[in-house]
Amino acid sequence: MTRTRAAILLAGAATLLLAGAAAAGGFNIYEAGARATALGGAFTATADDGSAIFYNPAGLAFLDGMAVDLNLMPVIPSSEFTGALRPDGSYATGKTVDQSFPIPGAYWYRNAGDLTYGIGLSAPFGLGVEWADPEAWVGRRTSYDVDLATVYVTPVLSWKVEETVGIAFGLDIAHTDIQLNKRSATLFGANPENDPNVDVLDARIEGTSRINVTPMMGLMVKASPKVTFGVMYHHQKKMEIRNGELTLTNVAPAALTATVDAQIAALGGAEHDGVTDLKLPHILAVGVAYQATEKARVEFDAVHFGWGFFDELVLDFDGTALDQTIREDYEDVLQLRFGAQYQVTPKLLAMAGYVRDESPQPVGSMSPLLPDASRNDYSFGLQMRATERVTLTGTYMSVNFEERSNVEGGVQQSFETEFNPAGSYDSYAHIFGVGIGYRF
Amino acid sequence: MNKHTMTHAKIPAAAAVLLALLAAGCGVETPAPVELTYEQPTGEAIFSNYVAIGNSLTAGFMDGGLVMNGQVNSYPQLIASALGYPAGSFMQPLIAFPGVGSTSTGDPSIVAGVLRFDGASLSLAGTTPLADVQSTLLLAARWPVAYQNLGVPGATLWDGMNATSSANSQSPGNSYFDFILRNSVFGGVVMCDQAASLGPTLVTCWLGNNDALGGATSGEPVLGTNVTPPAAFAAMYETLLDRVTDTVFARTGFTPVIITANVPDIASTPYFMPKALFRTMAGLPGPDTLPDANLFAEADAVYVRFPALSYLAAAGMAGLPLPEAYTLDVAETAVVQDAVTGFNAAIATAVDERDHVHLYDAHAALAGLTAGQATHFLALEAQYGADIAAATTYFSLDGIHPNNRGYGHVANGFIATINEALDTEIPSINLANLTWDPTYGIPIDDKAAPGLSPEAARAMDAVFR
Repeated sequence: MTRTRAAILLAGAATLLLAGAAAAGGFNIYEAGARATALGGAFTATADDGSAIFYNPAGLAFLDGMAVDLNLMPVIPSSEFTGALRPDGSYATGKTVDQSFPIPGAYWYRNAGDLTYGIGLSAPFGLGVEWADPEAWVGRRTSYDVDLATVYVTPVLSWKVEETVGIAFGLDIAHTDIQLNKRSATLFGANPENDPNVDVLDARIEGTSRINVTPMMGLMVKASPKVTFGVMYHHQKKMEIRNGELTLTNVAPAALTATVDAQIAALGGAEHDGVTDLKLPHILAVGVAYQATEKARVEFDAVHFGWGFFDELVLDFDGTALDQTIREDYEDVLQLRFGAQYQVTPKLLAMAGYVRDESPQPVGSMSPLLPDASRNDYSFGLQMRATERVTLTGTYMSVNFEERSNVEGGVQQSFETEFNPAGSYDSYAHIFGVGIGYRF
Repeated sequence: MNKHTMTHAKIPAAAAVLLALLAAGCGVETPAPVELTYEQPTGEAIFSNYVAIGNSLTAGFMDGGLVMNGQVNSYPQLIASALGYPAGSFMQPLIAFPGVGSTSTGDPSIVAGVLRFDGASLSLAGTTPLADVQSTLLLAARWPVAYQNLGVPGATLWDGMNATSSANSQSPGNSYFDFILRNSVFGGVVMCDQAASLGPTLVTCWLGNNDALGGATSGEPVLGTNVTPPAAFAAMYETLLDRVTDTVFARTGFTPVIITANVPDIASTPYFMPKALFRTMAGLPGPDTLPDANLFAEADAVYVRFPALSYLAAAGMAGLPLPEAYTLDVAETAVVQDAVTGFNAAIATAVDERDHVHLYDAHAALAGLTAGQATHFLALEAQYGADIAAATTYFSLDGIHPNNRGYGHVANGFIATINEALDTEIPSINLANLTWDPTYGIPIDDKAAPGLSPEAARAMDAVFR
């Protein structure tokens, strides 16, 4: 397959899937498989189905035969915003529209003695925040609709070094699709009750990245019959978006229409080319699983995200007047993931999990683009062996964001305060997962 | 029931319980609004955003019109400069030369400019076709927000809170409302709300003059018709101060400092001449030869309006006695002066009741001018020549609005009030730097006889805009 063709296919996949809502800190989506999600993502030291290709490909080394695992995890996020009290006691409100993002996890692997090879498709980074009533949404000058989808295609090779040790290497071949919609405003008018600015431009930014390839790897050590250790690493990425397009639309009030048309003309027209780099963090997971009884197993994972890499988003257009640098200043974070499973009957496995997920986003870069917050996730699921070859998995995860305000001590802490509204966000996401596995 | 089936039965039940628990504790909860701390500006920060409201006196109206030459010396601009505002940063509705005067050209399609001293008399510095005013004269028409100098020539106190255009002002046809409030673009926002829209930290407010002068300059003042009754004035004044304060607070969370000025006596202006001065300026004999009863239709005239000079110059002795409209008799003078007294009492009370409002006593300041400062240029010019006259008087050619130095004097009054109220040290304006050229660049023939052209006379009639 040529590189170009691969790009087209990936782009197609990204478009089909469009964005995911961020279900883990920042805009990470750690939900790559229904079974792993049911275990709260504490899967690094278990990794016993196709989703091991994402969670820890070393786990493949201990699997037999050939299998396909297909997962679809619809994420249903919602956010509400309440603006800070104005001096007159009023405040703005906003909420996101109803959306659902089907996050994919599709995996195939085949064992060939000590080597197992496989390939997977996942979407570990994504974002979809669309605010209702965009004309009136108080944060529309930062963003009223953002979509970001990143698709990873990951071929892996896993080697059982000895009976208790597996190691694996793979490549994350990634493609990103981004779209951002916002309004631009200018000071205008004399109405004391209202905003001193009026919207003059609608700006839509769209782009797709070049194909990006980085290494990933895994290690699994069965230290004892009861204790397994796992380590997984996905390298950080700089997604180079070189074909970005900015489209400006004049939305100015009648008194300013001509002026804004002239400004657009002075900028060289309504269409502009742009480039940006989207920085994605590394993921390093370390897990330990304990087979307590024949039927009961628990796992604890610590997952380190190198979000410090995501320092800014530089939008560089062909007209320098349009350039924009969005300061992000994310910080590295450590997630704690707990999972437990119980073999209820030989055919029925019950699973549950808990995640403590600290936000990597500093209060300064909280915005309508991404109102992140720390969260607690609770998950459970059932896996049924339907036939000798087929397993079915159903999962639910509840993602409970903590309410978070960008106002501390009475002062808005945002890096940018002119168009980023002061106030509090609360978010929530339902994640449903269905998986079907087929062992050949 | 064996153990196996029991377990099977329990699973859906357990799952249901778990689901119910999760459903109870999850979902989005609308956050409660957080509070922001709004800090009251102190020290220099009080001067960071200055806005002026008022009438012609605030606009920098001079020589019978509004033109850049005068506007750059408006007292709000002078205050802004003293506060350290860089040149051009204090936004005024600047009008290019020859300006927009209140004189009638007799042709509605031609707009008069300001008056100038042409060496012999007063004449128009220029005219502009009405159709070209917008494109050639209104230099700041495209400024995107309200002007910081919102003085509208002709505005009354009522207008400050109610007028959005010339059509609904108390002086219909007064296009300054349209030029300055620009509600064809902004849509129905009155002067005091436009000021509040800028979130000012410091507001100067000099309104009320036209509530008395509208009657006085007509020569026939009638309380309740062209003179605002003091009781109504008092209520409106309090409303204005509170409306500005509350609107700024609602917008910004702080209370602006407001400096008001009260209303000067008509006798402080050269426009209202005492009888004796009028006789001198008109070259008329004393009352022994020409008794008041023969000179004035209102035999008990106290003040003669400046336009009487041009009337007399045109009509000659056959025009006597001077029609009633040219004089204020005892009763009329009392109507005006009692109203001003009432206004000033109301202003003083309103100021006293509000800690953030301070008073500049413009009434006392103008009454304290020297005779030379309060004398009309033409009267001084006849005696001392144009240069000395121009360097002496504080009034512009229209006789009722200050000239550069007069506005500098007013600015210093405001500055002194601010310094005393806030314990600051804003430097005062050096009046020696404010030279006034009533010729607008035309050489003066010092020997020419003084007089008034018919257009200047019309200007005087319409002067208090």
